[in-house]
Amino acid sequence: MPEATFRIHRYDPERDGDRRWQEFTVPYESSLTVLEGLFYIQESLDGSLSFRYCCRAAVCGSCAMYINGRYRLACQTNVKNLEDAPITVEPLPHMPLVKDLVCDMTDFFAKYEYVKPYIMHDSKYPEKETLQSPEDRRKLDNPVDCILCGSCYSSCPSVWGEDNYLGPAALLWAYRFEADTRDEARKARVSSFDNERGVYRCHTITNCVEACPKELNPTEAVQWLKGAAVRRRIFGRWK
Amino acid sequence: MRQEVLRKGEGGVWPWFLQRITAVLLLYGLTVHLVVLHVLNIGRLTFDNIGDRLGSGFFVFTDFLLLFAVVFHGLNGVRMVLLDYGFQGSKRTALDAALVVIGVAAIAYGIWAFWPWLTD
Amino acid sequence: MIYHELIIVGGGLAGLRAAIEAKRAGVDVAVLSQVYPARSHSGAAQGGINSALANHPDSADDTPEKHTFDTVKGSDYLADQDAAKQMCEDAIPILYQMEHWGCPFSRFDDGRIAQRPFGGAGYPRTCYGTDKTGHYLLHTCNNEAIKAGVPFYTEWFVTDIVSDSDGRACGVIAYDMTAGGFEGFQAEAVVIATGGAGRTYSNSTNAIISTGFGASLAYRAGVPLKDMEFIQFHPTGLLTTNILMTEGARGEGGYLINGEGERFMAKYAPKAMELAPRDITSRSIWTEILEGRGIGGKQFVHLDLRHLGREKIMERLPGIRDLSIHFEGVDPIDEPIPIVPSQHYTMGGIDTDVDGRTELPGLFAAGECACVSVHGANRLGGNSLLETLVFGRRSGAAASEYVSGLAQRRRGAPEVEKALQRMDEKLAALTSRSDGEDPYAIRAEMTETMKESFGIYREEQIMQTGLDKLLALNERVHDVYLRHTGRVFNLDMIRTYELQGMVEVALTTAAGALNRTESRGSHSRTDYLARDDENWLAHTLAYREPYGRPRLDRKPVTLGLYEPQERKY
Repeated sequence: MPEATFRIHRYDPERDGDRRWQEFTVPYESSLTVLEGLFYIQESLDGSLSFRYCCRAAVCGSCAMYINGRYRLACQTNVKNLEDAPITVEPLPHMPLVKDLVCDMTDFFAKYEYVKPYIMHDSKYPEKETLQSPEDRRKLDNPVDCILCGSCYSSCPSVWGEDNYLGPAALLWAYRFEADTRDEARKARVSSFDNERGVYRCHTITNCVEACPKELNPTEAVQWLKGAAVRRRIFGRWK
Repeated sequence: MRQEVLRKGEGGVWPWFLQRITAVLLLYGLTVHLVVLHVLNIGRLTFDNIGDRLGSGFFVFTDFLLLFAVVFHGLNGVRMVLLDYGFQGSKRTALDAALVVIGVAAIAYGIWAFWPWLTD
Repeated sequence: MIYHELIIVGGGLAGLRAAIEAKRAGVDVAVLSQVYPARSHSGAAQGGINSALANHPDSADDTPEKHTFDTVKGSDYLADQDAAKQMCEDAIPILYQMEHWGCPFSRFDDGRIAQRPFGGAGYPRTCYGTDKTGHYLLHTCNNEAIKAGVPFYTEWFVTDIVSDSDGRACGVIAYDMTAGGFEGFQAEAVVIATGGAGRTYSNSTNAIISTGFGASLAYRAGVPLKDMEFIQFHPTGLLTTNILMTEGARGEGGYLINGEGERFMAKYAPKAMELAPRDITSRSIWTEILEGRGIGGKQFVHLDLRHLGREKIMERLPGIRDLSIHFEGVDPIDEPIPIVPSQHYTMGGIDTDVDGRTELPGLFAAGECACVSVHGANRLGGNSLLETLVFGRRSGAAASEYVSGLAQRRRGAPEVEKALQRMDEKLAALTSRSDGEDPYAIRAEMTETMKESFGIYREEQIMQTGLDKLLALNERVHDVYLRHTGRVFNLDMIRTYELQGMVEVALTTAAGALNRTESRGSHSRTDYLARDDENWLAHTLAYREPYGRPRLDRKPVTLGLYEPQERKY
């Protein structure tokens, strides 16, 4: 039976908040994802291990972690595709810690909610669906697959340097609604991100593009928002 | 909770947009520079020949454009870097004031240096 | 102690939809969820949501009545026909509403919501957003809840539902995972929307948090679970991980191929082929495998999409491709996907009416954890997302009405305080033991037993053995011990605690399956091959009994629209 060695970041706020590394050996048959490995450790080796989990199929965004120096979803990462041993597992870097591999996402979600991530529509809806051409729908392909895992946010140097910067994920969602033909928010959303704590703090470092496990492109969305801000001021165009 | 903090920090669109515009102007200036130095032939390189060229309308226009562009682009770039390092509140006001003083001084110096060719 | 008029347990589609409805009705509502709401398992739904919008060129004369008929026929006539009718009628306005809330559905060229064919449906009426429909709907509802200002208690694990001396639900006890500690929530009414019990099986497509624990809370509070023996097996789960490969893959034209290279569905459903309902398709695949015609004689067959071509796969099924590349190492553009039928859906659940009311006043339930019943003995693909929204909305409205209609607010039932104390005592007992049963061994034995004894084909003797095993596990589960006693994010405690509920829910499935001496829908017995309408056109109700084995009762099925006929596809 093959074995994989995990080197796991441990942190327990109830034990003087010590941070340390701990190694575990996990046997497996033919295939083992990092998340399965964590479950094996939690069940059989050390019941005190904490991590987030839910769908184990890369759609919920719970288990984003820093594995062997890259942002990855633990459920989507198979140990046989990892070259370095032992497998180093850390929580998302640059985030406050809760315990072991669990980081505090409070700020991340507060910023997400701050950009008003919902359709605003003042005029009367048609009786049936609002029509939207496939081309207009395609503009949303990039942002709508976002699973809010926090990888981009954790990877962004502008976030590290400025606590109040909205970060790539929130701005990607701002783009998702600004670019939607059905949205009529006009000024209501723009004021949340069209400022120095918003899009202008992005210096196109593109760490977020590199980090995104769904291969989305927040940087491109932010650039679109900056362009739209100028178009709005000069030509009065909202979309 | 966080919303009050997030609400601070308005503006930013014009510095960002002008940074792009001045970047394009710098590209234009670089192109003119390379073309003039390596392609155009003005005969013998003498002080007078070069002086005539600098005094021509095209060069006066280009040089002043570049002067403004370089000063803005450079100082605004420095400002962006420093803002990323947490220059906020009174520190930021002081930074902005200092950069304006430096910018005005640099442009004044540029105009003073250029003045002989204009009045020639 | 925290007070809200209405507490919603679970932040998936049904919970969020109920919360939005209640909030907009002016009720002080809050959502408690074990995960951030947008991470809920609703987001894993792929193929689409059924609604007779008649947008597809081939479905111009589609109507809610035809949708109702397909649903009832698909349910093997065990669905309550009034409930199914209600759902199919509500389907149209609720779909338009989701579109107005911004759900990024895929579009036809004329700009209308795109539809695709799905199993067991007479018309292409499954509305979709590529192959991530659940994800899009869930985020849409999450965002709308943010817009409505619904407060979330994220990463709060509900451990108990409390009812008062008048026999009304009056609050919940919950564990605050990040802060570490238990808290009581007092409320006038509670809605349970915690999803299915897939993880009682070892071969489930469900999220790891779909344990059925929410249903067990209602069960413990004295509410019966209905039709728990009906467990849907999805025909196409990935071989090694059981991750779902959407029915949409077959809806777009994918083939099922056995070890001899033939499209074997021709033998079982000559007309519908791969788009037969899930119970029939899963049985067909399993029969092929049992008769040695799996790929290389092994326990799987192929889902072949290669003939669809790169362009169609990339446009309509990009998520399927990503999943099979990442989890199976197979690119469906070049290779067929190895698949195996996997536990997918719990048709049964907390017994409710069409407005989510349960037998316990003040307690409502919606979504997969509830059983109205619209799915009967077999759910049609695309009806589950629909159910969450329709009955989420209805239970939210009914709960709001219930709260507003109360003569006076209790604002603080003393029972919650007492329940919180009991919880502390229970926990103290659990943490004081330093030796005992290993909860994970019990979990593994239970899920294996469910898979082996209550799978696609069922038989008296095997089920009896399985039930006995579960009864023994139900004894052992009370002697478990915790390896970790910390307060913060204690997975050991959560997973041990929920295990007790899981075993009880598994027992209702087992007892119901053993009791039902016929084959109907997903419940397929090798010793009773035929459907027996004379004796078994009835719902099973399972009541909790203190000694473990549930007490079973029956409830008549509401007919009235369509007489039971033989199902042919």
